[in-house]
Amino acid sequence: MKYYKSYGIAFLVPILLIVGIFYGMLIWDFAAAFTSWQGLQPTWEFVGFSNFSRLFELERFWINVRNNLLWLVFFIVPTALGGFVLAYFLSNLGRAENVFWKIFLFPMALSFVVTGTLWAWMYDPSSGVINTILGGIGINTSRLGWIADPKIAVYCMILSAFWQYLGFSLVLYLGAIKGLPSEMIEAAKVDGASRFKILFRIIFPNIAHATLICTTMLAITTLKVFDLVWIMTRGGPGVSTEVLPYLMYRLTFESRDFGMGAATSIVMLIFSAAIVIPYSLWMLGKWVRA
Amino acid sequence: MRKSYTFMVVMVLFTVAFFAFSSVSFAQPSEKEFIIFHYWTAGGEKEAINALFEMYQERNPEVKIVENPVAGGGGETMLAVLMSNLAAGIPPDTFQDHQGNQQKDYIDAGYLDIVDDIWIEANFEERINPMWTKTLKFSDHVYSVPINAHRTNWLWYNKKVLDEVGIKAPETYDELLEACQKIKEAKPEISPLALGSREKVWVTYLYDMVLLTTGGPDFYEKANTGRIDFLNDPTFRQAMERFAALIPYIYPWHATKSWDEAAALLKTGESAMYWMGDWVLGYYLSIGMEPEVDFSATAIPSDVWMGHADTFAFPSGVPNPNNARDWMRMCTTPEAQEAFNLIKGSVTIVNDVPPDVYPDPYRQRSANDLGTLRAVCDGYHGGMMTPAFASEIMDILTRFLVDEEVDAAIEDIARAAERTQLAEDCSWFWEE
Repeated sequence: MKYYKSYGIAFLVPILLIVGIFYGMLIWDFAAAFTSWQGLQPTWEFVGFSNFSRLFELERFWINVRNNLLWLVFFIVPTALGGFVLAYFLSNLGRAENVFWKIFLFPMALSFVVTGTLWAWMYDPSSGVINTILGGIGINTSRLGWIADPKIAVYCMILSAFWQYLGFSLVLYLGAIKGLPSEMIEAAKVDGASRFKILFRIIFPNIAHATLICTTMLAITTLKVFDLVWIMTRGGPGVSTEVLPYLMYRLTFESRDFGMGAATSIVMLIFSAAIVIPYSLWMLGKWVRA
Repeated sequence: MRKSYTFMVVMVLFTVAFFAFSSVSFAQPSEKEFIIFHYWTAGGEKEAINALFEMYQERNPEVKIVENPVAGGGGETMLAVLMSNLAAGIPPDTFQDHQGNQQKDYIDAGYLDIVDDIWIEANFEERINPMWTKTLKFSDHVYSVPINAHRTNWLWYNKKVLDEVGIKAPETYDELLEACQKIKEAKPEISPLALGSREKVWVTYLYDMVLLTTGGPDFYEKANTGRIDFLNDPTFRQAMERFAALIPYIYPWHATKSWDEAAALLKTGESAMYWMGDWVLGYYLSIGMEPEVDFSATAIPSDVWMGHADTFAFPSGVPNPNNARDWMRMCTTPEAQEAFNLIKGSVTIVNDVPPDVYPDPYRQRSANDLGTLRAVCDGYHGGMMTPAFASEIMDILTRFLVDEEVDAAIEDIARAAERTQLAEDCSWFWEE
């Protein structure tokens, strides 16, 4: 046993060193958030929470937080729910299911860069396919700016991410539904439960583990969404579609305010932990109890 | 146990050696190389830098030119790669840069070395507009050699549209506003002024234009370096009001367009005029538009040359200093400047290349004006503003395009100038 343990540790050394470097960078980032580092050369002058207070004073920061919350709500709930309902329908399709889940999963093979480019083309108000089709059927599109309209731009972007990730939640739920014992559903049918009741009162509570994985993964995706914003709008019009990772990039590499950039990353870390950890614990508890 | 302990030590040594040797091989390239970072990777630009490479290769046939050696380090990502290389102490022999505050950050960080001797040897100061010296000299030293000059106070216009509406090319702000109004009245389906704000930097070009046309070049330089009281300055307020007056005439979906997509609006007839630097000329030629038939350009204001330079900076501790210095020496020659700029679409920094070498009237005028008129650097690429202030003002101005609220924009700009210490960081510009 001892023999295997020591060999195990020996083989882990390279990866432990890399993980060590990663945590070292995290500590370094944490330290930078409390310094007055502006410009390209690090200045390790301790300024307390000044970077954080400067960050919180920015109206733009709160727009970013609001957008991140919008992503959390309007991306995760519809994607998870849509995936679940679709999975249920597909699980009843028989052999056709094999064709459909692949079709829905296909967008997952694309990167956000490709998705962003495709949807930005489609949303283009003057030459995009959406306005062209709407114009073709006689709808006045002169006021439909899509991602150029600050009031709806963020929702348009969420829709494109929904398109990409629907297949992901579909496949997760499909696997979970197929893992359920068929007797359970048969018994519910015998007891006279409606399809709706079977779906939401029998199946849904019994696949809590899939919901846990799906929503946690989607939450992580929304918290680090950067590429889609970069490709589709660069945070515009104005700063209306900016999210925290994008703000972090702008502050660090464009404003060259490394202290504030690092402070933004710490806020993101806390934000992610505050959402993902309690939620996971709650869902895990629920799942274990179930 | 002993065996496994030995094995563990070997693994640690292997891992450390792997990282150590990989960095050593990076830090010590062959002395026969010339390593350059640049982001001229698009069509036209690539050919221009290649012309310089050919010339350099003739001078130094034994030297191997290494372009953007870090994978993915060209184009937009070059700056991020460059910053990490400079911070890690593995600089290239030279890199593409601009001037003013864009360059000052590198100097403050101690990343650049002085090349005064190259300037003196080439009698460079006497051959260029004094504005270049002002924005490339820091505490009486220079750290780079400029290769070209891009004019940015050009208004490009669709000749047919202006002829149909019956207006002449505007040469002042008032004429521009009047032209916008007349086009809108005559052709309501057209947006008089094209703009692409997906890259927010282009909005600062409009900002530069209203500052320059409202307060003149001295006021422009003061405003962009934070030497005015943004909240109470009547000229600044007037400039912002003049900016607001143009907004209704700007292409409404500018947020979805890049600079070249916005330029194409002139070809499709969706817009009539476009405020953009001279690099758009190459784009118009590439999409089959004929100069002085399909489009033309006018400078606003006509008595000032506004623009910026691309420069080659000289980093500290370069692996091949002699090769780098020879490259920079070559770039001071009229031959190298002409070869590069004829292809690039810009004009030479040096005044000793005659304007008539350019095949189009726009660059002939630009070269002539640069040699004779008062010149100013544009705000962002010209490095008048600090990168920190520029980043903030881009967001403020793109919001201003949406809400058109002058008071809020002025307050935001004043706050941003204070927060980013604009006046303090730009004090070098006003040192005699």
